[in-house]
Amino acid sequence: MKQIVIISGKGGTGKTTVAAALSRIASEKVLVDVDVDAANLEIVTDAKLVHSEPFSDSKLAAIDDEKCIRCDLCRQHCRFDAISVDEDGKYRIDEHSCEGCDVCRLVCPADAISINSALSGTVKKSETPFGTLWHGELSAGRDNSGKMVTYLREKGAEDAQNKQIPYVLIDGAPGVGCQVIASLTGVDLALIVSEPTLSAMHDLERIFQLAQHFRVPAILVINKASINSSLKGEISRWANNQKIPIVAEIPVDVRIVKSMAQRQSPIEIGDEELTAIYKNIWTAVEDFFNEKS
Amino acid sequence: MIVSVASGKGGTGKTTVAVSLAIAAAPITLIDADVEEPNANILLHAEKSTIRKASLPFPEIDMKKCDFCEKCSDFCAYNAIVVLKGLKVFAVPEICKSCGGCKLVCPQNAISEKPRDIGYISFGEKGDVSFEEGLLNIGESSATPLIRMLFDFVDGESKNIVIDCPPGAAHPTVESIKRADVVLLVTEPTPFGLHDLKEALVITRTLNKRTALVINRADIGTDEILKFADSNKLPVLMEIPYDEEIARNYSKGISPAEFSPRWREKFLNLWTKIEGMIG
Ligand code: SF4
Ligand code: SF4
Ligand code: SF4
Ligand code: SF4
Repeated sequence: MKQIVIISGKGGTGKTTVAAALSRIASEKVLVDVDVDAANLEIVTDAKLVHSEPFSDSKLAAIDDEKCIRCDLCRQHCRFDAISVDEDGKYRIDEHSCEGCDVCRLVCPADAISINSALSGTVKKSETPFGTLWHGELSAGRDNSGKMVTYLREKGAEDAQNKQIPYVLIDGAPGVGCQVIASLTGVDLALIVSEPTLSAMHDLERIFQLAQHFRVPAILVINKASINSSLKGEISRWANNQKIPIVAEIPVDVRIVKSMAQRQSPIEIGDEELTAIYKNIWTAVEDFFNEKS
Repeated sequence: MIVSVASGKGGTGKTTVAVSLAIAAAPITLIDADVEEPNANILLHAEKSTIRKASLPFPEIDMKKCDFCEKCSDFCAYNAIVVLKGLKVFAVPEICKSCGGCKLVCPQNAISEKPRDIGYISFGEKGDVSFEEGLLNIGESSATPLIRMLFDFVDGESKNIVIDCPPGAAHPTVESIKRADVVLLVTEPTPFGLHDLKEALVITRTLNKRTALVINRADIGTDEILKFADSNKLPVLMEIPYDEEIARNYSKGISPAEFSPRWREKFLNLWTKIEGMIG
């Protein structure tokens, strides 16, 4: 079983579009959407929810005002700025900032603080016409520690293993932080989606460094390739120097944006040339593994 | 006035709006709080004058004092400190959140803290726009503390501030909209846009923030967003059409406010409307 993650650094480079298209093309795979801040794959895969479970991996502090002697020690020791005093002099925890580190409880002389586990989101399993989809949603304002990402990936891999499905296709998280690290570690191939804009190229270098850091081989898809030909040349040269194969160039095409807005993928446009581009991406993925074995 | 420009997901044009708004409403301070991928300066082109290292306290263990009692590793909520009995005790930089707890619990006073670099904060100017940016080192997970440090430099300043927030609805985003007078959510009229907008709204509502929308690529997709805005009494302050000229200029690092006086006017107008919200 091989795990492929689609990542882009910056959001909005068409990562989910590529994931949606590949979901139509790849024959046997389990889909995993680990962009738990903005889980979008379900929208374009006609997903029907079959299972959901609460996910709690975070801890939150709570202050019992009856016991609190207002000594201020907790506030002074909290390094996350999560404790404040309201107008009535009551000490309160800002649950959007608390990281559950337990320091306030440790220093409180009045035993007024407890640490409780908090719901951080929901993990979901859906069936789609293109295979099983594992996805999740982080409750707004909860810390994105990457633990849900790891959990979803484990579930997807387990599913693939049990049913002897050869691929797990992961729609990765944006950025270069902990969720991306959690989406990259231990995968077999990273499919990086970038575009010839200065911002995306800036992020491309960062995401590639990250992939290298975790020793994940990478291939590159250039989205919106026609938007700036000189920058596209620059990406190609850069990729060449870094020895990352460019496996596809997707043109700017307003129909792609519209297809997604209608909860579909670029494949449903029915343009043979366009479909061929996405098919090439998947062929490149399969070739990568065939060459290796 | 502090305006945070945010969006539930990346790629909605948040940075384009933040930078254009700053250029149009200058004199102003623009803070790029998207510390994982700070891109605002690609559009602003500020000359960076000062670059400072940003660091967090990191536990260091004096093995001469340590008796391997394991109190530190028992305490650490993130399993970030490892005790190898008889051998060594060490904290893992990528996991440690610098909470300071292990130092407090160590009965032998064997733990002290040393600064550990997590990224950079840089400052610059472009015309009447003062610019501040945070950049998190690769592989580092402490976005929120770095964002907090960014605000240490402007707290108490009376100048107007525009903040380019990290996308999403987790702690780093919360940190970047906490101080805002108005939160501007940039979205697009697609099912994704709507889905992510709802997430972002949970945050702005719990933080009790005045919130308004900018709809990007407004002419592609459906009017679901407009209906939603209407029924939730969210003012839509600006609609930006899908425009190849904007996209082409963006690819070269040029914001609408820079290439077109007409757009600059529109963003100034946007600023006036935002001001009207707090009136
Ligand atoms: S648990 Fe930690 S982060 Fe939360 S309030 Fe207490 S000291 Fe602050
Ligand atoms: S440390 Fe305990 S007693 Fe002191 S202010 Fe905090 S909650 Fe109250
Ligand atoms: S708490 Fe202090 S003495 Fe105990 S193992 Fe940790 S460093 Fe060593
Ligand atoms: S400072 Fe906090 S997070 Fe870091 S090792 Fe010590 S207890 Fe763990």
